Amino acid sequence: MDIGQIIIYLALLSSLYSVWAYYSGINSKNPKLLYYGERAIYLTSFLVLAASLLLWYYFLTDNFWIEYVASYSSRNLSDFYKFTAFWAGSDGSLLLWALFLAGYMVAYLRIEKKDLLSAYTMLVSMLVMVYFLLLLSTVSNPFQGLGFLPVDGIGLNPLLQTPEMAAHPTTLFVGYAGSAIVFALAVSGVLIADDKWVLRARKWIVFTWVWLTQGIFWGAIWAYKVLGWGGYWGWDPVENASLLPWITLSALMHSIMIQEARRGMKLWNIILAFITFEFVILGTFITRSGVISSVHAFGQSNLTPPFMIMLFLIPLATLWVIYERKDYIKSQDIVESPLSKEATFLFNNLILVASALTVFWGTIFPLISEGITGFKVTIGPPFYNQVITPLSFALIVLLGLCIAFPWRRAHGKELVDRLKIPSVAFIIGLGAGLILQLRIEMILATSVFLFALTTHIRQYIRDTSAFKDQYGNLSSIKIILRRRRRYGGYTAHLGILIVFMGVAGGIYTQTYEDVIMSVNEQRVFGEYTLIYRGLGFKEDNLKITWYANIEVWKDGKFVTVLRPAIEKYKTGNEEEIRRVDLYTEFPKDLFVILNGAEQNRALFEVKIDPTVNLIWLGSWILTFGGIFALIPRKFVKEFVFKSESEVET
Amino acid sequence: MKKYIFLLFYMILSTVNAQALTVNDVQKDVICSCGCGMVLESCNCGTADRMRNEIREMINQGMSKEEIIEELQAMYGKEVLANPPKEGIFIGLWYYPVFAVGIGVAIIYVLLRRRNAEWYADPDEVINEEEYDLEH
Repeated sequence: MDIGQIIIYLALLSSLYSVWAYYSGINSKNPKLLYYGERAIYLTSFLVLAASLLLWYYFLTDNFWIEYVASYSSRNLSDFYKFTAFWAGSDGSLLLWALFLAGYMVAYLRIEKKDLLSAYTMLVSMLVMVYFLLLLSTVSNPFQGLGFLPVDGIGLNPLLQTPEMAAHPTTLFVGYAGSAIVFALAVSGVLIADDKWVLRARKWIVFTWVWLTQGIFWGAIWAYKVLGWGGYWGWDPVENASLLPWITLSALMHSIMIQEARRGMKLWNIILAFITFEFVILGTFITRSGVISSVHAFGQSNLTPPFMIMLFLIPLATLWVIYERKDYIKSQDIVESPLSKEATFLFNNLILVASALTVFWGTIFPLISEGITGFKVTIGPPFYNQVITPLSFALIVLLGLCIAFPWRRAHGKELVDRLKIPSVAFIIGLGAGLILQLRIEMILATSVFLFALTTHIRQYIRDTSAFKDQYGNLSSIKIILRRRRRYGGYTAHLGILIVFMGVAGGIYTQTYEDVIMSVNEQRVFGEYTLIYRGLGFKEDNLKITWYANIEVWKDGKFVTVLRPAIEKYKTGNEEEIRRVDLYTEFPKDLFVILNGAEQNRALFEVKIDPTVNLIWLGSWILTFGGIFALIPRKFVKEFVFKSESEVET
Repeated sequence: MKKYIFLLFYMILSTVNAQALTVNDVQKDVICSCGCGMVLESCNCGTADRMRNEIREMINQGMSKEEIIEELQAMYGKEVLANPPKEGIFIGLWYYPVFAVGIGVAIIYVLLRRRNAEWYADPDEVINEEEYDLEH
């Protein structure tokens, strides 16, 4: 037995002890047992870290005795990709999940108060940890020996040998693991019937959301630059699996504000925390089992039974908690007026949850259809585009409205005043779109974008001056920092709006062409002239590469050389992949794929996406907004609150 | 004012009607029959080229998008549809989102009629209070 496996067993024992200590400590109100439970969390985390470091060591030293290393690495792989091969398969991914969860629990213990809510939260989180350690000890053992030493490993899938694939799974899994803490806090808060869980959960929700955002962003960039089909989102089940928890967590981020302000939505918030975590477990399962490709894969993957049990246990536990605390979560009024921010949040939750359930339905529908009719229906992008498009347009309008509406109650005249400029911007958008002869969908997208953008800008200015009066002439920067949650939210909204325009521009105004070009032939694409200068060839110990040299000219001036390539890998199944090359002129991309070549001519796919870079920019703004909202009070208290008290005195 | 609004809507409607059917409009809704499982729009094989030519010919014959998709289904079977048909078990797929939104709207309607909510705290400020509490 490998030492790594022994470490995993010890971590499992330690986590089981922690669960027992917390459970007994809570029941007997014994602080000593809670202390032991906490120490066991540190020990478990240390052991999981040790196991992870050992697996990395095995990858970097080509230890092909270990089946997992032999399956995903090879001697000619660079050290960087040997490092990232850690999460190339399901065993390593589950270990990474456990490692991030351990990190969250240590961070929680260091940051939060040690009270009953924290004790319950750690107990529930530790139960999740036990589950992952059980998987790692049994059906998904990354330290399983091969029994012999092969000359070389099979190698890493070439599609995973990109920097984007180093970032995508890690960022996504940090988000996934965070959802366990959010779920644990929600369940614990309801169990002890105390609303303070929403205050405490806020930072964990936003932190998790930031990482899920980054995970989706890196996945989209990877699809765009590496997969070579010219898009960034194909509504593939695995892509959907990363989107689902992000949507429901976005809904939770808004609806907990109603619980803070009104003490309502208690049932809804625990349901959202549960759905998010359920989607995360489902996402881990879909990504790592390949089950969604066919209903028959249910029997093929050894991960299926434990994941099905977990997917069944999570709702069961949630329902039990809801039943036990039905008095605490009983329905309460949450609005004073339908013209209020609270009301817009209800609609925002409706649209987000309807979108999530629709994407979920579309993702699992092939399994349902195969199970019932024997025919596995394809749910392609047209279904999602048709259903999600109206919901996303409505969401953008609502994004504008929710900013314009104040908490509690809006007065008619005030509301008209707030919406006057955005309405004009909407009409200008319609007019401009018509003059430019854009597609109707693009005209509407531009109009709703301008509507929402102007409500944000107007409200940003208005709020800052209103708060100035309230806080006795604090500087704008201090007001923004004091109200960092609000301004972080505004910034995140701005990011969403920019992403929306980037997506709409791509869908409605993208141009593309498949073209065969002979050597030295020129072709005009939009404002660019492309000249094919022939094929190049290079070989290293990992792959053989054929690349096309394409000069790009614009307005009679040379701009750059693009080198789209076809790579044939020497390891594994000798896979052949396309390497895209891009020329970016913000916000547009000229995108070229080499699809085949003969001696004197080659087949290319050329695309011009006029707004794709807005998606990447918007994603960073979205992330920044979340991080800004997370700034702890202690970082700004000297700057903001001290001077504020001076002003007040 | 009314005249201008009418004019604006007329122009928008003209934009909708002016858009002629293209191969791109159809190939987004069709799966390539080569067996790759990709939407025709994304596939670059010889079969995909042949299917695009067939679609182009049908457009030239004046067929509508629905007629073309029906014809392709007759030629290649229902596996060619990137969108499941709106019939039988598949109806559930298409109308489920409408159903979900409908239930949601009904719940919100009930919630918005109950207006005796109490105000406890400004969510912008409670984060400072909670963290102040943590610091002390």
